[in-house]
Amino acid sequence: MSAGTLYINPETLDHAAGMLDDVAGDLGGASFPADPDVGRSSSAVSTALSRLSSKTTSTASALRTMASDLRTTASDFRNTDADVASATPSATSGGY
Amino acid sequence: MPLDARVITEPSAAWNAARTLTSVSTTISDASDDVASARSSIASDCSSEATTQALLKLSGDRDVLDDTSADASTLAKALDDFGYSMYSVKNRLADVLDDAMAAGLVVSGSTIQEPVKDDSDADYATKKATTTRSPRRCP
Repeated sequence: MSAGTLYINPETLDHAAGMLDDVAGDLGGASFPADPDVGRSSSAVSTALSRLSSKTTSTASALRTMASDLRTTASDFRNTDADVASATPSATSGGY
Repeated sequence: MPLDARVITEPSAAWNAARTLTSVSTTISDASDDVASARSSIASDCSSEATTQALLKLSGDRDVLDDTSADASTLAKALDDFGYSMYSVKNRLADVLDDAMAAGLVVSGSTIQEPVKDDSDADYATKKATTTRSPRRCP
């Protein structure tokens, strides 16, 4: 548990989520070259390209997941804030 | 025996792949910068267990992107260098064909025909020597 001050700006999280979605889109759109004919090195180059492409794809997927999680956190925070606000008795003038 | 001076691997294939890969490397590097920017905004505006975990995860993602970008750039450089090597080989083989023709050998396409033994040909020995010292083919 965090012992420090808890503060969250849901707008910041939503904005960051949008950025990460854009980044994931850019990565997903990265077009790796087709396996070039480089003689006896063709197989090694093909393997290297496949690994690079796989790492890029998996990172894009991780960033989309992170974006979704950030939005969920922002939404949860808003909902919790609203719940607490509705459960808090309103101050009334001349009240008890 | 005829000699084949054909270039099996064209440099353009390696160069094209290198150019595309360099572009990919830039895309990934830019992505890493954007992830860092998103991470920075969260770090400066939020403090919680959830966001701390998010910051750690984003740091890891950025490291992966940096490594991938560097690896793509390294591979692009290797392909570029390979292309220049093949370009050099191609030029040297072209020189071999020129030398063979200059020596009076019959060249069909990229194949240097072995000279037919002819006692009346005073240049036969030179022609024969030319075919035996020429490389057969590039890798």
